[in-house]
Amino acid sequence: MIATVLVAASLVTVASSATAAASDPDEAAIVSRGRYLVTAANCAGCHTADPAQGFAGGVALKTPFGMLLGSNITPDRDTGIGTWSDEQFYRALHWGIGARGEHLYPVFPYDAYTKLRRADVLAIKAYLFSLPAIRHEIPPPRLGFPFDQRWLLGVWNLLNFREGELPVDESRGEAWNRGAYLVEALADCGACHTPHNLTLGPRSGAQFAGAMEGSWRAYNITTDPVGGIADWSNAELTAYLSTGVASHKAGAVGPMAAVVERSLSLLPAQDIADIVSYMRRVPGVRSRTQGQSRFSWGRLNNSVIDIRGDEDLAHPNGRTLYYGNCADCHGGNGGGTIDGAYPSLVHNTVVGASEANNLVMTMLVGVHRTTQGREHAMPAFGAVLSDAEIAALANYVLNAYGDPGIAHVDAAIVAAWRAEAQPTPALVSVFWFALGACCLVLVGGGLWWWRR
Amino acid sequence: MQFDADVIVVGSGVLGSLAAHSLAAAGKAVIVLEAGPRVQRWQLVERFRNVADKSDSSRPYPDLAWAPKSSGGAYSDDYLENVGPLAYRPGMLKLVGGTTWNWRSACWRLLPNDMRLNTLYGIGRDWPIDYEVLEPWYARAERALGVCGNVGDDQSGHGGGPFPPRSQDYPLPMLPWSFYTRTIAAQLRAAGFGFCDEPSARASQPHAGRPACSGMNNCTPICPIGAQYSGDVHATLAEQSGAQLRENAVAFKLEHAGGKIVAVHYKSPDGRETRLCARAFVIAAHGIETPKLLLMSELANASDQVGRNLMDHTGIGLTLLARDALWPGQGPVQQGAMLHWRDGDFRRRHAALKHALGNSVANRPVAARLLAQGVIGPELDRRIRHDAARYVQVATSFETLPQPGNRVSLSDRKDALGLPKPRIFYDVDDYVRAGASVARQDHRRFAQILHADVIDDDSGWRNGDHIMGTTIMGADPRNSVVDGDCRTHDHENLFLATTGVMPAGGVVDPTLTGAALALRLADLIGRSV
Repeated sequence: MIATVLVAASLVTVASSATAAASDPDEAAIVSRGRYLVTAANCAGCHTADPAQGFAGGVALKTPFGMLLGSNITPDRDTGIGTWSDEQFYRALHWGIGARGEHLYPVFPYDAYTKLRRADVLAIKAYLFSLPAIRHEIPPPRLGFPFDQRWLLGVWNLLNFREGELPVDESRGEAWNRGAYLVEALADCGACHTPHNLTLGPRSGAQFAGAMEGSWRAYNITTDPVGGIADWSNAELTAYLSTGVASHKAGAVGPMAAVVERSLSLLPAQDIADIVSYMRRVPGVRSRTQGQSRFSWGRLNNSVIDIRGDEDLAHPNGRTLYYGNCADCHGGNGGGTIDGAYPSLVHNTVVGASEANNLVMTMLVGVHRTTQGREHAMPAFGAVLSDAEIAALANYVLNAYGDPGIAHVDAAIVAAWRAEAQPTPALVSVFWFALGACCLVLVGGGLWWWRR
Repeated sequence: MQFDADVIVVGSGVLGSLAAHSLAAAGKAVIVLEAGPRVQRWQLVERFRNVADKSDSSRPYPDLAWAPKSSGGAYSDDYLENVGPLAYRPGMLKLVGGTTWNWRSACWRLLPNDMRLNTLYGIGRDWPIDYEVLEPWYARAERALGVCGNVGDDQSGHGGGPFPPRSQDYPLPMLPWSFYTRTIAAQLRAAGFGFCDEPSARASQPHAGRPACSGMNNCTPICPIGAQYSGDVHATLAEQSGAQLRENAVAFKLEHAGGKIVAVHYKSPDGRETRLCARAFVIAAHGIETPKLLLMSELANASDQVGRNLMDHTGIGLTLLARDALWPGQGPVQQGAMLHWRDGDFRRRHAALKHALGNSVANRPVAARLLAQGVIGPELDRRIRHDAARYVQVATSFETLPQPGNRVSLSDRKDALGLPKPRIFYDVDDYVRAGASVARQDHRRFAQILHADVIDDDSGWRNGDHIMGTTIMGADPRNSVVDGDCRTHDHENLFLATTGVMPAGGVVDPTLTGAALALRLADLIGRSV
């Protein structure tokens, strides 16, 4: 409650000081800047469900709170943001407050966008308002208690939200500062890569240490030599971010493939270099589960001779499934193709991870990634193989080319990941439920006392 | 009357599945009956690898008492009863997705002249519809199958501009030619022969969930990664659009009342019979089983043409050992063809023909030949390496004409379900033989151009696996089975989706034409049911 009042109070201050800066003679340059910012922030990731209807919303966003839909941010006056003033738009990005004064859910990362410079926020608006208005009604979210209580987000803000533009650190170079702006304010890498605390805010001291994103794992991207990316060369990081592939090491899959395709691969080379230079100085955080680097597992291993003429195709084991489904591209020995067009499973960051999520998810849904006009695809096997078969196949691959210590995937886990069923952690639910209940009791009690 | 579905489709191969998907996507209630089982690609891949005999490409496919194929197993080897001078045993598989699991995926269009043979050259039969009618459906079929090709080629073989006319480019760009194809094409072109890219249903770049062709040279018996189209793609899409697919359901009787088909009866493997009613029926059971089903049901045959006019692209082969190493086997098993005898006034005198350049890994036939010659030990290894790099295979196939005597009929022999097996009489006529002597002159030239030793220029007649004519299309109900819409003349709600309807097939693989016709008839049914 107190937080809400504070937020509202400061809004008035900002509003009164802001109107002067709005007009700029070079509107085209502003729109162009906005277009770049919208790409770097990957707004389309949540706001474009149908590429033919850019920014008309509708992307299903699975959060620990429940399912939300990306909103329509085209300038349509009824279903989009066509009636929003500059101030309303700025308030949404900077404060996480919607046009009617309501709290926005933090799945919209205003905790990152608050770091944007005001001129950039308005450039984003200018670009969005230069696009065609698309009439597309997005139904309001329907979340269960206590997450339907928007006022509770005031508490969330109190605990997790730090308002304010990103300060420039004069002690670091220009590249670092540009990288910081890209990573912290625009791309918001932490949204996926930083683990959550009990209140579903970013866990302190664990920035970029790796977290779950739906059924996918967003890996540790700190400078820890074992868990993170310290041992990746600049060239590898650059190639990965700008094309989705670090040859013979890593390929972007799942949500990261989408980020590379829609955002990172479209950025200027200088931006990628700045991001790399910033990430190089992020403090290392050791992953507890990671015993050795993701790209250090496995060796070439061909056991095809053992199975020829002696296979049970009605009750296949993991090896039979590997040779029937995978070996034609990834090689009988797991080595892929020499040019890396079909990736090696040996020393592969997905196969060698200490969680089987991305390996299993890649098998289920495949890979679809287009960068520099070239499409990379792996077929989805989710419709071909059962949960038990996927589990057997994953365990074979983990034993042969990954960390055998985690080769105990079972059908139930595969089924849960397939359904992208990521239950809200029990403690998180208890915390918010208790908080909601306490607040209701306090308010109810207060009312009763006042009436007396 | 109670209907089990709006439309029942018999057969889940490429044509049946295309029709079923089109109808289901248009909101129709569709049931698909498939005689064979559902099999996953990886199972076929592993079966292929586990069978010792790789010479019969049908071998890895299901061989079942109730769903025999044309060869490769205890139930299948004697399924087709041949009573004519030539043993006709075309590839025919029974499983969900049908025979395109095992094909080379050539997706040629007919030439406009192929459809006007009688008018232009006084031979064979005309189609009752023009190329212009079919053209938009060709374009849709190419999109559905994901066909790659070279839009600039003159596929009439005359070395002119792009032909035949097309309203849309190929959906996918042509696959790059291998060193082998490039080298041979250059040498042939230098000697005055045209050489044309073969359009194929191979994903040259990722397409509709299929990965790009990676050139494993395993197009037959099975593309291990599904880059090459197979009928299961649309069988799956049909199911996703709401069609109900019943596998191991052997249709054996169509029932009619008052001129319309009212029901289809099918047998399950245990012999149990089921009767299903629908408003319309599409028989898409391949060029042999479709006429067999009509003959067993004793209908659609007022013309007495059901099963007759069996045509194929019967061919001959040429095998050479070239002077220079050419390295066949890189990329798809077939990439191009010579089409200079595809169309012209010569068709009054002899069959049109096509020389297709094979590009299969040659180690197996090379090793078999050397072993037969007694070559063993290190010399065998050396010679396999040497010969396999120089092995050139040309498959020449001929246009055939509809002859009523070439036919599918019902055998006295019965299969495991007690149904008659197909009996086949097939022979080639003088029109084809005249074409063959022209082809052999070309063969001698090819050997000279490639400075090659001839290993085999007397292969005998080979099946082309392109079954046509057995439910022939025509304008006149007295001498044809279906009309230009693939609707049977005798029963207004019975449609045939099979290359068996083609009254003339030129020299090119008929699948794409069949696919275009299937999409067209599905559209027609969709608008009337």
